[in-house]
Amino acid sequence: VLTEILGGLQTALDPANFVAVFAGTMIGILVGAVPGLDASVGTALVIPLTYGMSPVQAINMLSGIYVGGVYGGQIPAILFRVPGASEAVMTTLDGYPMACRGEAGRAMGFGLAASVLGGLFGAVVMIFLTPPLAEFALDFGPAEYFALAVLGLTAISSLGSRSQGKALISGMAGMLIASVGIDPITGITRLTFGSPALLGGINFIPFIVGLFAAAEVYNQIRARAGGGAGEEVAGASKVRVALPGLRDLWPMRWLMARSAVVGTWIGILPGVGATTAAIIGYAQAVRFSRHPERFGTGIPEGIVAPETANNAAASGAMIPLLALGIPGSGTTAIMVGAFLLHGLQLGPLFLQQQRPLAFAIFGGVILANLIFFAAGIGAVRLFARLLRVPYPFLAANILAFAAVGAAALGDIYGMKVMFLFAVLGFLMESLGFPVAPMVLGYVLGPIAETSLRRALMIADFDVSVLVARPIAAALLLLALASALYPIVQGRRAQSRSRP
Amino acid sequence: MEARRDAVIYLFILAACAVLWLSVSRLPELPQYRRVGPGLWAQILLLAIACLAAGGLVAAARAWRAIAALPSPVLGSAPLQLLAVIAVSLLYPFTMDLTGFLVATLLFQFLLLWLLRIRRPGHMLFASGLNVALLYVIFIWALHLPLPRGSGVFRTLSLWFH
Repeated sequence: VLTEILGGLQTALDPANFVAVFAGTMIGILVGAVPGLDASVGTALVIPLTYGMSPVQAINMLSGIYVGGVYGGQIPAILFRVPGASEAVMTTLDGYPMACRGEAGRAMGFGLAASVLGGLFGAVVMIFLTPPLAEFALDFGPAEYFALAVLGLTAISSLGSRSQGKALISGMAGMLIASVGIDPITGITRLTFGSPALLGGINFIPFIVGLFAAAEVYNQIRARAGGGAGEEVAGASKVRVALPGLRDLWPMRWLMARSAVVGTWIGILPGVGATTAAIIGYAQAVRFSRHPERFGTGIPEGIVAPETANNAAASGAMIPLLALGIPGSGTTAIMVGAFLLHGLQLGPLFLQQQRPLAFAIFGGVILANLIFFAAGIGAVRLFARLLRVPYPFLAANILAFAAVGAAALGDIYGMKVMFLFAVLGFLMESLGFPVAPMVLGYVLGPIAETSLRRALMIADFDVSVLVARPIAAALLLLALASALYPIVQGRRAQSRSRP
Repeated sequence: MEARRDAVIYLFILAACAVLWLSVSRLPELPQYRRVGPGLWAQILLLAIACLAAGGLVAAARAWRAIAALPSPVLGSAPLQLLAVIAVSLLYPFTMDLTGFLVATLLFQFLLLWLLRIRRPGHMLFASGLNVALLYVIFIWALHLPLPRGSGVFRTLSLWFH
């Protein structure tokens, strides 16, 4: 394995690949730092740019955006009390008070160190866990894959919305959208309503670019019409990162270890992602602290815990993607598009058939973590200045980029589809239906459908085949628990709030 | 008001499910795939969505009775500016069909900036031009992607550049 890891790192360090990882990480930090953009939007926008790249360059660039985007969110969270990305939401609680006390550089230093350590921990777990998990998954049959897809959907449905029902509707609508076109088993066309343009189904790239990137512009325009963002810390663009020494970090070693393990584990869970990791990382830091009352007043522990957890989760989310073909987060669901674009089939066989590529991706993730460490020290001032670009210029730029990226598939039809999904995404967000489950549903839909139908065909339509094998049964039980948990939690909260 | 809005949305979802159900139930069946035919998956999903929407409708109806009417916080307050931006966005592909990538994108950028209240002509021209140049370099020059050239005089103009 060590030889393969070194081989992967060597491939990632190849000049062309290095440039891709570097560019991806810098784009990631930028989209993470700009409120209203995040790693998902950045990944969706950049996928069309990867047409001309090799698979290694394309996937590593997107991994760089993901890793850099999760880190970048902390820059405005600390300096402006505005999380650049949802993953940095907990960082504002202690980061901004520290910055207000004139400790912005120190806060950024702790955030950077925690992000790198969390990200590297997640990357190491990814390297050592992905191959055995993929090997284990080789025994999976259609029933297990169906159960895994259902678990992914139920896990994400409990997040990102006040209403679990709305999230589930969104996820299943995504599955329905994925089923438009020619049925892969019988070859019969369905849900096309006689339109030849729909025969090939709804293309993934216009779909995600519209739902994530363009819809977010509409959301931001509406939000900005209603009021401004947070206040800027004095001298924010002159801040200098003050990295903590070993003496500062040593007392937080257990906190970091716990956050890294929690973050990686949450990242591995299908469909959950880095934002939840940050929230749970922060919550466990408060729970285990001897001085929980100090959290929220501006202490380094309040930055270290969520930043370690969310960056560990970003690497952890790559594990189910590469080992099973099941995305671990919204951003990795979007990354599936890049694999499809380059003709790569994800799943347990990916590691057998594309082993050098898989290790090059591992190398790319490690490299991205090291790059954002260097960029974090040197370029925070630059990113803080870039945050001052007025939003109208960014909005016009993003919409044109999204549209042209979707049209680059060959005709204007992709652009029309993109704008239709942009409007749909905007309406969904406005009405409380989260869009991330829809993307996950789109990715998981074909896996769930073909697995279910194959399992039923093999068993002559005996439904018990879905729970006949222990792994499938356990996964379905887990899915049921994950679907019921928010309901039980809601009932408990309701009964507690009653006098 | 939010409950009333939710009730309308759930009713719309139920109606959409019914239409789609009709569409998939008319799919031809092949004897060897009789029970796991092309419509099975869509029907499972539609049934599940309809059940969730029906549940949501009941919850919305209950909340509607219980809560005093409040002004809608979301779509009712969608500013005209946003509606104009969406309208311009939806027109952009059709303009590109006619005028090609370069002219349509320049116009689109200019209009968007104006709608987003950038009123200095110099800023608008510079930003639009820079953005079109950036897109040209990335998609046409570097990636060699076939972006639309438009028709008639616009096609001739586009052919000078790509």
